[in-house]
Amino acid sequence: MMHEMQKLRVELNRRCDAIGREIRVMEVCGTHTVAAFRSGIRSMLPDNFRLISGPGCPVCVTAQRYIDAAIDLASLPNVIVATYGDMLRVPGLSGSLEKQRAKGADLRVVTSALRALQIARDHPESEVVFLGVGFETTSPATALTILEAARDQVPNFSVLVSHKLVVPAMVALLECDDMSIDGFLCPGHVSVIIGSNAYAPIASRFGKPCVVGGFEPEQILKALVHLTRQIEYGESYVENVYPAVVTESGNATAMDILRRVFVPGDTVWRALGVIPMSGFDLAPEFQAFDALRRFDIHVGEDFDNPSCRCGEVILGRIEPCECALFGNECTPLTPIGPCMVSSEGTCAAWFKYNRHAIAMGARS
Amino acid sequence: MCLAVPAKVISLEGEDGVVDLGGNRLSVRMALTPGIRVDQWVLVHAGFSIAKIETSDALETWGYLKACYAGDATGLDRDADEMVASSRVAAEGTAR
Ligand code: SF4
Repeated sequence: MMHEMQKLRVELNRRCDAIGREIRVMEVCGTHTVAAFRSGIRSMLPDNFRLISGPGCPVCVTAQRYIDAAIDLASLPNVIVATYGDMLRVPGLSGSLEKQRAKGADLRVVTSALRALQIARDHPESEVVFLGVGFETTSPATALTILEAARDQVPNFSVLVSHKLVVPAMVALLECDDMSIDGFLCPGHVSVIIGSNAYAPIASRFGKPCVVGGFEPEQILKALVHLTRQIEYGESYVENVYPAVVTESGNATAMDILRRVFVPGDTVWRALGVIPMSGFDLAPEFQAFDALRRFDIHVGEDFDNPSCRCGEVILGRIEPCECALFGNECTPLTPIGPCMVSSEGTCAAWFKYNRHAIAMGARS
Repeated sequence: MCLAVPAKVISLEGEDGVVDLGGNRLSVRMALTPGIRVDQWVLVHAGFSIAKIETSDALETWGYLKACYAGDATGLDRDADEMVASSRVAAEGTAR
């Protein structure tokens, strides 16, 4: 394996030399962010190759107004909020879900939407709201759980839907005037569901190479080599170098279920604002499970902390060490923005794996 | 959050299955991988199987996860145990 890694490194170096300018490749998956650091890939990249972390961490791109709505729901009497653990510490306007729990809210951390449904079955006297966050890897789990709740007529279960779609976010980034990206390392497990063909518009309409890659060191490096190959030859098409689990058309069953339960809708992203058709609303048949409707919760505005530069980090405009708070006021123990809260957030990954950048942050 | 982990199917009953995930038995909903059979491998995420995966690819991934666990994948894995733990959370459904 090391031999193969060495060959890939040599090829990457050679191609980057041939390109002879800064190459900017964006990954849009929190798991890639962490894996690229953990495996040491980041530290072996050629000097002119920049691997930028885009809006790939579902927790980080969840808008503050959504956290506020979740906190409003958690503060209602007789409501249990069930959530993936990553959401607990994300700051809203007035605190986090974790702080709400300290004030007495009934919050349950679950690792599957099915668990949330089970809590509803076990507590018929309470209302259970599940926080539906995540990209297409995760949204089929929510959709199937809603189907099951509908089939079994579980009246006290609902979902605060904030699922997001990867490709519309990539398009929105490319439509920003000042965004220079040479290609995308596309997320492996999102692609299991949506299929590699989903990136075809990025390659054809925007002329950006898209390569779907896995998460092991050799898989990541291989994807980066394929990207530089396309960049060197001025080509742009979709390549799938993670064929063990990713197909061209994705998981047809999961896509059918998504289309049955949800309809595409505009949704708001932290830092990116409202992106047309980049999320899901419940289809009319399933709107009875919409927590916002059921509890008449109003979704407000975002008031992001002006000193936190998470927005620019999510857009790949700055690296975390360029934020004055990085490593000083803002650490994983005292996170100020969502990019430091989530273990897959770019700021948290930098803090954990890039000590030298922290020193730079402290100097600036 | 989008990490899915390979697991071997141990038993099936309707849309439910029990899988072996790195030595742990978990109940997983199999509805997204119709036609899957006992002894085959699937990728598991948030309590659901989301794709079939060939045994050799699954074993290779677990080889990598275990090497991380032992700290010898690249010599750079300071927190491999955490990675394996988080893979389990990523995959976990209803723990048995
Ligand atoms: S270091 Fe903290 S404050 Fe700065 S951008 Fe990252 S999360 Fe925000």
